[in-house]
Amino acid sequence: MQQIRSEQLRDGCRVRLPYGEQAGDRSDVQLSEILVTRIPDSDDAVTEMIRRWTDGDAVAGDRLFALIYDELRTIARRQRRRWHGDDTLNTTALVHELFLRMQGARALSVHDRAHFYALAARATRQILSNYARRTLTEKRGTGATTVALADAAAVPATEARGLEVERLWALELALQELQRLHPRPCRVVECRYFGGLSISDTALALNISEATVKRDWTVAQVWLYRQLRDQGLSDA
Amino acid sequence: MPDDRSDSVPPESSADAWDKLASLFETAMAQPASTRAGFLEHACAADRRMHAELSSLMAGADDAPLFLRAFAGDVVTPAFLAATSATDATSDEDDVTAEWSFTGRRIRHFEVGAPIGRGGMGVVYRGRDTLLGRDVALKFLPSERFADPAARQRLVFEAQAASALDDPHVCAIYAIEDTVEGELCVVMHFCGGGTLRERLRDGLLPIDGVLRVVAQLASGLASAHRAGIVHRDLKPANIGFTDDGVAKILDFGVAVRFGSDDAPSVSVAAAGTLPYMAPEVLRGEPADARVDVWSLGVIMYEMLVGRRPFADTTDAMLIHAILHDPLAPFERRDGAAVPVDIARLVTEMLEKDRADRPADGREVVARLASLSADRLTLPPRPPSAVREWRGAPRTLRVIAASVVMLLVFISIAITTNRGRRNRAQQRVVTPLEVARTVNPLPSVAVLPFTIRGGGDLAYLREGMVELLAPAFDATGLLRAVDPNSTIDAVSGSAALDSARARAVAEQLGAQRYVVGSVVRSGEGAIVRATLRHGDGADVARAQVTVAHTDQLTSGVETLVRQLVAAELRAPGDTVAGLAATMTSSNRALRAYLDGERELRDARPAAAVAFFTRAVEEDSLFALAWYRLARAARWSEVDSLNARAVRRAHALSSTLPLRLQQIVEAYYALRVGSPVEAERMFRQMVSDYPTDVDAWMLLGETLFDNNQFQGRATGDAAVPFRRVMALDMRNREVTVYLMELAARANRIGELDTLFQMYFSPNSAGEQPGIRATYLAVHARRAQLPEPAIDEPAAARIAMGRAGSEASDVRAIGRYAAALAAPTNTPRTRADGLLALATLAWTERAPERAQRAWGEVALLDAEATLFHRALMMASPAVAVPADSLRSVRRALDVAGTTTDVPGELSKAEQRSVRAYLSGLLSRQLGDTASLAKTQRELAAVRGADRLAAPLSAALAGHLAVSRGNYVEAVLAFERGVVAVPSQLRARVPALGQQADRFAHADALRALGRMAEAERWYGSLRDGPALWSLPYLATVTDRLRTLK
Repeated sequence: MQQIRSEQLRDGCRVRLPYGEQAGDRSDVQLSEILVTRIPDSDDAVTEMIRRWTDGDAVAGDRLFALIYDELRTIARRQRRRWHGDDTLNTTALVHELFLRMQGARALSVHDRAHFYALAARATRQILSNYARRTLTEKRGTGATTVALADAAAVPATEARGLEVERLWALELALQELQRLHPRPCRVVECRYFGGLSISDTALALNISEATVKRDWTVAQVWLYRQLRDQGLSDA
Repeated sequence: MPDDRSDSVPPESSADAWDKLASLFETAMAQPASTRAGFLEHACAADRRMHAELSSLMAGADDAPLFLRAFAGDVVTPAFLAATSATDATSDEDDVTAEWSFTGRRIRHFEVGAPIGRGGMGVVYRGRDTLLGRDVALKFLPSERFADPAARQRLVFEAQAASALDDPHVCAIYAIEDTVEGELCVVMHFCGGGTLRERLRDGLLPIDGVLRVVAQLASGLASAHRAGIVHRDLKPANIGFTDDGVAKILDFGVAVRFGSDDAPSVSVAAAGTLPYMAPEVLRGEPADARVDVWSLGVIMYEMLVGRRPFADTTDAMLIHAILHDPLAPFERRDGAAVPVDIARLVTEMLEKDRADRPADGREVVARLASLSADRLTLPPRPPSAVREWRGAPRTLRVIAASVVMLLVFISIAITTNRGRRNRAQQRVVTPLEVARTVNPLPSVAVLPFTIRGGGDLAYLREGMVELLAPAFDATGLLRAVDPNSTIDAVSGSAALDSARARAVAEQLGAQRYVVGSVVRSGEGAIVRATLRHGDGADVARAQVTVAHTDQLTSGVETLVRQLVAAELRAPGDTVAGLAATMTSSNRALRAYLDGERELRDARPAAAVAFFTRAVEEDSLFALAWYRLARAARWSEVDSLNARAVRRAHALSSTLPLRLQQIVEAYYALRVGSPVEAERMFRQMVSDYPTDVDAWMLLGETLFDNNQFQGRATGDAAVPFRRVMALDMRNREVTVYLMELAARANRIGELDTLFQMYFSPNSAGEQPGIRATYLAVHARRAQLPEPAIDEPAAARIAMGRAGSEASDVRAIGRYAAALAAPTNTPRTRADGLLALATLAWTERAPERAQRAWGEVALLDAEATLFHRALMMASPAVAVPADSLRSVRRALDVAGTTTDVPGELSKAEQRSVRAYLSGLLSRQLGDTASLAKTQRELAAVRGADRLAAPLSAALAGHLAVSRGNYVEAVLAFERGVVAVPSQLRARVPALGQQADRFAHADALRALGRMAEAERWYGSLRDGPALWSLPYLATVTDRLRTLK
């Protein structure tokens, strides 16, 4: 009789068991990925996923990210009401609430929690970039690959929202460029700017010193500013 | 995908290049502005590109942070809010379709409507086939899997599997379509009658209805099994009903094919939903048709009995139950008998060994058919009557009744025809006509109102929820969902469209809901409201015009009575009124609503002020008294809590049923019997699982009293987390969760809760609590601990410190702060007594003696009690003479007139007798102990303490006579019912001596597990009064192991 390993049982609604799993069998791995996609309702799932992710299990990372992405959107909707129209985005509060709502996250160690926060920051960025891409696609009917920013000033006020989305997309492109050239400072920007993480949490999450976080943060801000300014966005 | 590892790997040198750039940048910026240029020239003499790069970066150094901050406010925040706005909300100012929503799109001749469900395998939308003019369901892959080839393949397999079956009870697949963007979409039959899960949630199903559904499901499964397909995820959420009530199996998303090759079963991976999973699936064995037979058995049991056969609180327990436990008996809540043959079939379907189960769906069909031919024939086509109703033109019969009251004009429109159709179709809505005899009452959710024309009326958005909810309760025919649950469940988007409203009501488990609006009109307002059934059908509409907002309460009362009367088709005055639940004083009402808002925003002290004003304006305002009691407790003003809870209780007969129950139980908790309170709260949460207030108070009851019943205080986390889930705004619960997290040493959680509680959006007004948890957090995280000198804060911190060594040291510091000569006598006495406790614990009686000497000048009675209490503990062996002298002092009747806390004189006498009895026990003076016990047992009257304390003394007496069985029984009697309020005031009522002796007696009887729990209870919770026991308890626990 098969011994049941606790993490398998605790994976939540859809449970993945070891039958037929063989190293290198790609189709099995994909199937497991499909099967276990619901929000887990037991305590250890998130902890386990984080552990597996930090151990290099990319599938666990993807799954966790998908969960966080969905939950973050739900929470953001709820938080929005709490602000009573005061449209300030408190990313720190958002991420904290996410942490509390994700079953099992509360059992995380301080170190794993920082990883979790970093992932949430990433999800925030992803939500924004998906939104920008989608909105631009809808507007143009095709993929948004280039952004014409030179004549941004000429856009009439009624299309202000469209302009905002283009600016957002410009930021995302700048971040992608930064990520391509220098991945670490881009991570720092994600944590600080999109996740509202403190210097020390960012350092924990990225496994670097606080001094490095501070330096990367300062320089990356300037770098992004220059990138956006060169596109004529800084004075908008 | 978001993972680090999937990023393209930059050249090796990239990190170095960045580090060099960044450190040069940092160094350059640290130079005075005048020398920067020179520094750059020097540092980058050999690298012109670096020089250029740095120069261009440094040009923006000052502006960059400001720019990004402004960018966050101007661009990122609005975009994020737009990106996360509700998918189906259509608010005026926000016309951006939320991402990933297919709603509103067209895919060939299908129009995509609102989303109706989401699973791991896909998102399902309602849709319309414009070519054939019928409703369909459209299933897409979830956003994160659009491009995943395996997921697409899976979706195609699912569609093929289901469409191969062509069974009336398997949801039909019409087509698979590709969208322009290349996303896959499966077009399916639309089940307009909801899912079995929804039906189950609404209450017990009639037995013959169950059998009809089961026969259909078995037939659907039989087809699948015949085709060699195992569904593997059969559960109520995957069973839909057509408009005509025909059951259909949905979601073949994890189905597998077996028997196609030579292998009889499939062994790739197991899937399913835990409560419906068969034992062999849990064991990792391959799935075959009998897996589905098991799941169907679970569903049958659930439909027949109203709960799951193996429901349990945690997954681990559930798994254990599925693998090992026998079935719970077939007992329906309504007492109706489950036919024996059916029960036998279900029992067979739920055999742990699959060899003992029916082999597949076909066998289940055959068994059902053989049982009782007349009842179990396959369902007839839908009854023609239902069809007639559906086809009938929607004649709208309008009954307009205009009643001119002093200042109120009302008109009601009732859509009688739709109401009747609805009731016939959706049996789960309890008709109001029978509601009077049904318990629990059907529930109604009042959703926030739309407010137009006047910012000063904005408070009514949620205010109307607070007003209408008790008004519905007052009718005695409906029970309103706790306003806090409702307010939390509704998203902040300005428009609450009908789909969203319906979804919220369903989420809250309400069978009815109310939506409405308030429109300013001169000095007054027009209030409109619509009562709907869970399926969205209008049941009644009413409108009230109030000439002045002062008359709002009576207007609301009229509105509710008319709504309910309209559903009953009875005159409005036959429905019980709101009576005095609210208040006729507009100022009191306004203050009350303001108080509620402050509570929601976690400012309990401000709430106390508002509620106090409300009861000053109207001293008979029962609801305000109750809320005052709650706010006072939260802001740690126990004396005010005591007064307010008594007052609310005295006035509770004016309250509607739900609030009466709550107030009654809360009174029991604070003033009466906590055991009774627990029973009442448990009943309430089982009847109304979305009642936030009931969950909160159940948690508080467990938190306050579990340790006195030998249970873990940590159990309270379950209801508290439920509160959190139901009402994320609830900040009161975060205080308790912080406490539990601190005790369990869960630093991360403590940290996060702390930041939430004191986040800028929430409370900053409770310096005592803030200081307490800052200190607790520092201790747990082993950081330098901030000192607490302010007496109020020190008192809170001292009361909450636990039994860890660092906490005990902290108690010493707080006690010293309280004992400072500049403090009030009451505060000093508390501090000195705590110091005496510490001294006694450290076996330094002389030091304790000095402290007592000082307190005696402040409060002789309290000193005497405290000395007796210490002497009854195992910390120090006290000479007989000292014991006798203290006992003598106790036996001289106290002459005090100053009643500490809430103790009556009689109750004080009981405490004296109890302490005297404990000292007799220490002296080995069994005769005196027996005499004291007899006297205490003979006390009659309003003394709440005589019974529990005399029972405790009987326990000690039995121990000293070596009769442990009797001792345990006596202690168990003594466990009941010391009100929380008294316990908090009188250290003796912590009953440490009793709990310790109780544990000893259990140990002597060899009941080690129970003994461990009772010993453990002395370490669980605030440590202050248990300190002299801790060392001995630790020893005892060690010997138990």
